[in-house]
Amino acid sequence: MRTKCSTRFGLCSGCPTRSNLIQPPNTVCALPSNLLTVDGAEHFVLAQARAGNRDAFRTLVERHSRAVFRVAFRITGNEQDAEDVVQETFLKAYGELARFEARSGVGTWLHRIAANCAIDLLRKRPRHTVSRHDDETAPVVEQLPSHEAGPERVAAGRQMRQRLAEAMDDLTALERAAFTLRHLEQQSIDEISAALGQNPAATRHSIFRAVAKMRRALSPLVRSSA
Amino acid sequence: MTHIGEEQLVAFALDDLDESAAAQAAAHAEACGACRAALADVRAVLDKAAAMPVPERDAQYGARVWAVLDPVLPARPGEVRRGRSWRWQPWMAAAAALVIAVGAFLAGRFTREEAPGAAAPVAGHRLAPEAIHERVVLAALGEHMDRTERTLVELVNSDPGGRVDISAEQVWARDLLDANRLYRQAARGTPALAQVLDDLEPVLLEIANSPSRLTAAEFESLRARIEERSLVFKVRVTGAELRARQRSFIRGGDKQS
Repeated sequence: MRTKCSTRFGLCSGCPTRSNLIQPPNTVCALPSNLLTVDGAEHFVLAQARAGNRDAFRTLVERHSRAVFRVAFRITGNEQDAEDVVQETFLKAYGELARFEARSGVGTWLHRIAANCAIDLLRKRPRHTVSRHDDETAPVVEQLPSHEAGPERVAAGRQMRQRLAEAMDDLTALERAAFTLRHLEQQSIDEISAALGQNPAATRHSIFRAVAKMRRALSPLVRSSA
Repeated sequence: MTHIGEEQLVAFALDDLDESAAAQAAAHAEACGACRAALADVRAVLDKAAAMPVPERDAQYGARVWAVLDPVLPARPGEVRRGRSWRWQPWMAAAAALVIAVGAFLAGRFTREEAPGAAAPVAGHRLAPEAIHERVVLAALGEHMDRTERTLVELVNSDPGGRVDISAEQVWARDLLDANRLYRQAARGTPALAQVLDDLEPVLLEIANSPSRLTAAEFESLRARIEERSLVFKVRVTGAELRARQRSFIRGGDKQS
């Protein structure tokens, strides 16, 4: 039986986006097939949000918050800062909805805004206050040891994470953002350059400097664990 | 045998080389044990960075973020937000005004042949607002080039005996970097000026981000980077051209007033 989609945005459980737009099971989407794609669905929601539909913007917030948090945390290294960056990112995104040209995905766009918010936040803050490497305040450092690993391996893993966190703290805000967007978010050099407002050569150089600094800090440990 | 440079090695590991450069790097790494080991080292570091844990947020996190946002979002996108003030910094307004001013100026004046007497529109004995505006832009760009030149000259003339303290140059470079980006953004339609600003950016970045006390080898490498691009010369020429235009502009204005 064909049941007309009853979700707010006309997407049904047949939608391949598997997004949180999907509500009732076993319903059939009444939308044109070109919207039955991740891009199509997202652009549809985006258009609704631009037109002032707050539920549509809420959908974007609910759908992307966790990923934006990951980007923000990777750049700031601090949970509270990352939370602030998430909120600031969506506030800015709401203000810039009309200017977003949708040449990239919504996620990519939000990650760029988050990277810039994180850079702004880090630049306002004195250097070396990131808590990522502080065992007492950064639970993340405590998380990794495998229960199956022996004590030496656990200690080595902890030392590696500690050194990596310290190396990340030594990066400038721009280096962290460029490195995070390239290596961890897989954005292209051109996308990162556009996001960070610098030319591609400068972006490549920021990434190179980030890797070079981490390599200097980690190489002895990497070699000894090889 | 020429080894793969460190910057190229990182670009290769991140898949950022074009097809032919990547093929060359791969072939070299295949034949060269040292480069193969260095590449493995870089990849191991990248793997470790990717494995750095991130605290998880549960499925309800987005709903909680929305609960915080909802009361402070304006009714429609683009409207003034209620409840919470934008984190707008005073310098952003100045910077935005500067970008607009420089962009408008460069779009018209910088590349245009000067017509005698046309540079400074005047009304009676007073300069027209456009003329004042152009004077300000010329002066700002000229000042930027002068400060950049001074920073680079100070740096390349430092004595490399022992460790070199570049902390003062770093402070200048950081300031110049922000201004340079703004001018670069505004100079899109002026290729010659844009190229000089483009060349400057990575070097200013490197100065700003280097350790404040360089070893002799690090200092020589930085100096070589500046010299290989003839940056001091380019900056000097651009600054001189801007000053010449400024002088001719002032003379044109004076003649008419």
